[in-house]
Amino acid sequence: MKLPFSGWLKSRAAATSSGAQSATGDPPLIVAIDEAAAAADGTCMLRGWTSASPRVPVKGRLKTRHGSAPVDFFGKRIARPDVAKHLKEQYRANIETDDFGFFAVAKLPSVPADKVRLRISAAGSSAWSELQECQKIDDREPARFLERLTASGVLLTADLLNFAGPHIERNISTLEKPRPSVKRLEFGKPPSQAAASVIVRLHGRCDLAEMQLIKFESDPDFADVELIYVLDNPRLAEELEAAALKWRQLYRTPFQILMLGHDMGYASANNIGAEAASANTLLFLNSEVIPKHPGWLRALSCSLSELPSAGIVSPRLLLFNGAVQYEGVSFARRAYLGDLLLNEHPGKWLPPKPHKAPFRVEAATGACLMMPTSLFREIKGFDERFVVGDFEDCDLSLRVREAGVTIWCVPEIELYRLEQQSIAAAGPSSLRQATTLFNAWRHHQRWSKKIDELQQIGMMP
Amino acid sequence: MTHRVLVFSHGHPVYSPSGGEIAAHQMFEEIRSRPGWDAVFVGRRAPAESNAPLELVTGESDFVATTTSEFFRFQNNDPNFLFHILPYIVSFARPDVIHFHHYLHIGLEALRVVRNLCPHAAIIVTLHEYLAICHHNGQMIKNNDDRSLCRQASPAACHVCFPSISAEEFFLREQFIKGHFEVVDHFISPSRFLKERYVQWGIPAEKISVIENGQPPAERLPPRPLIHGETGRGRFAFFGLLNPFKGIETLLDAMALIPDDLKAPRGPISLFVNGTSQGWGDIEFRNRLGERFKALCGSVWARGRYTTDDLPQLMAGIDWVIMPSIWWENSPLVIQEAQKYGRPLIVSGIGGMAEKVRHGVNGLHVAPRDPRALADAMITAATSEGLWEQLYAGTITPPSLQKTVDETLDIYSALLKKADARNIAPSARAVSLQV
Repeated sequence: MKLPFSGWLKSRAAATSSGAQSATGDPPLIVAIDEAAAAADGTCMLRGWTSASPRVPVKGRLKTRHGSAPVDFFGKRIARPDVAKHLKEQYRANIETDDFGFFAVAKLPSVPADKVRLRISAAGSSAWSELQECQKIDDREPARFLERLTASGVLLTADLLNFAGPHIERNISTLEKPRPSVKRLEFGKPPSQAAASVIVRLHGRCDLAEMQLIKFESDPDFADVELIYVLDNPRLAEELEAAALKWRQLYRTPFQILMLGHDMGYASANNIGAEAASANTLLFLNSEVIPKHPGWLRALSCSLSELPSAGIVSPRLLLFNGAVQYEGVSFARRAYLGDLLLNEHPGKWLPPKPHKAPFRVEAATGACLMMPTSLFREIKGFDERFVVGDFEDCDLSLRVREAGVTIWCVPEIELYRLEQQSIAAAGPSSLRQATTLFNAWRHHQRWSKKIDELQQIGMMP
Repeated sequence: MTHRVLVFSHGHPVYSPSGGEIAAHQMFEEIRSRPGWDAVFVGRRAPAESNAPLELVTGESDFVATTTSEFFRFQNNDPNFLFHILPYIVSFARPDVIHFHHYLHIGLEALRVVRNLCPHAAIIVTLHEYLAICHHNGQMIKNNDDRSLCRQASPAACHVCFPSISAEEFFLREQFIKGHFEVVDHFISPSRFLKERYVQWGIPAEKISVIENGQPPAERLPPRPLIHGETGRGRFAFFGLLNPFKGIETLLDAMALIPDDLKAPRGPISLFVNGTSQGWGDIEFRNRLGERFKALCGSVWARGRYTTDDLPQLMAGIDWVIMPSIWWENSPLVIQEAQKYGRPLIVSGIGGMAEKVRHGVNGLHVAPRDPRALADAMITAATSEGLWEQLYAGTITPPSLQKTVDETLDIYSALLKKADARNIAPSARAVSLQV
């Protein structure tokens, strides 16, 4: 028998059905698991297919050596034309749909040590399938399963996010992420009283730090700045340390490096940097942000102290070609993602307008964001449950607003931002996309009502 | 008081006897001979050539240093060279002036290292081709099949030439190079055209002086004696490396377009190709050249490799020198050599070639990459009565090495005066290191 699909091949030996083939040409009840992956709290995500009609309710239970749990099936089936073809050919079944694929979640008491068995029942029949190995989902990459789903052709819709999001979030929330070991290296003598602490997370590549150091070198403002690089990628530790020794001899700006023992993500790495900061003002700077002219830091600092009730200030960021990359973030719903609230950069890709006065914005980008250290500590920094990146800055901005202060963009201060360059080596784009959407969903859950309210009464920004 | 000059070159003529390296070394020797000036020369050689980090070549101040840099941002990742050998050289030379004849192979960081060591010394960089602007071998021609001319680089345009390198990376490259160029006090460009390109790229015009490369003296040759029955001046010659950028294919195509009755053995026009494609890795290109040479047998002679010592003899036997380069060039040595020996030129009417050869005065301009135009120009040159004599009379002698050094020392002096005006004590101009 020719079997063109992997799930069937994997579970063929184990898949059985207790129901007989009906006289009407319906196939017997069959179930197959293509993929099972469990997160650290025992949340197990399943992808597979069943011959049960999409119109028939299906119940299921997932069993391991150490316990079992009911299975929650995603309400929409997934197209599997390969399965439909097989069922037609094998059972001469009267089939009018391709929707035989399923996505399901079960909350097991613990991570399965080896095989998992899925038993389902539908329309009086039952069937089971066994998979010899259940993969582990890295807790730092909770969107990994979403990525696998999209890689297998499933559209990442709002419905799917609403279904999978709480499971992923529960998993992240229950995990106590331990603080990593931090190795602190000092290059040059830091100023005794720094005017500002500049915190730069390094993750995908180190060389961008040198680009910044070259620019800081010709900027007198950096004479009294505490410059903290946080390396959030231990695999680059040796490379960075060697490079830093070279930079120390080439450039006069003192800097320190906090080398984290394991990957923590944007929020945690910046929080760790902020904990080490001694100045009263913090500047969070992405490594792919390169100053255009000297004097920008002092100008930004003046804006923070002079603009009415300013809690966060950010400059205008430009793309490499001089077009706008950022002039403030605003929130908008995306119809094609089920009205999911996303952040937008109004004016992006357009030529910048000259001589624009500072203006209030709904949220600021974390790529270059200045705020008082006391305020940052008061609101407890970035939310570390936005695991990989995106939306931490929006979330921070919205919490800052709740503290009663305002957020500004100062467009006359310009820096370049080379989008995506710092994460060039940070994993496949499909994972990035899945992570972004998960983070968007999480942000949406937390803030959509509040943002709607504020927008309706004209309080945004 | 003697001013001390530290000269860096991307190669040492003993190891790499090319035009730029020879010119840098000749200047160093000339500077040393001037009263009130002293100089130290450091040429670079590749690590493959020696393990010794520093070696005295001749005399007391002519060194070769071993190091290398990568080719995208010209970064030197050899800390021993940057932070041990360079300071060692600086402490020996105690320079008032540091003149880099290139940053290629030495690394841009070297500029910053010497600036940190000698905060008050004058740092000068001679620009050669368009390497800082263009990743395509610094030639500002597109990296596509037809190698068309590039008039202005930009991150987006460079990404089109090199699709695997993002526009953002090209932006970073530019920022990196410009960041290190900030420590340079003055630039020297051998042509106005090159200067214009660097000004367009962002170096302030007042920071670049145009000083032509100097030539050692040579006697201008008399016109080639015509042989019995010869009616025109139809002996053309090409000098230089046979690579795709030098336009040799255009030239051979032009020869093929010239009617048989006008070219040897029946007519007056013949072409002598001096140079070799050896070392040029593009086998397809070399095969194409081989086929063309074969097809033009009887009117084109490939004479192979030559040295500057061979030039008087080679020039004596020809009437015209052709330089059909498809890139802009800067200040080509071939043009200076042809002019020195009194041979009119036919050149591509672009860039440094158009600047150094005046159309109708001491040569002719043709459109680059246009075999028809070049064939027409060659026919005109060979058959127009009195044209060769007119252009021969208009041939100008390129500047002497002495003149080039005079102008260079003027720049050094002006920069040193500026430093003096800022009340910097001479002793503060260089650091003295314990090594």
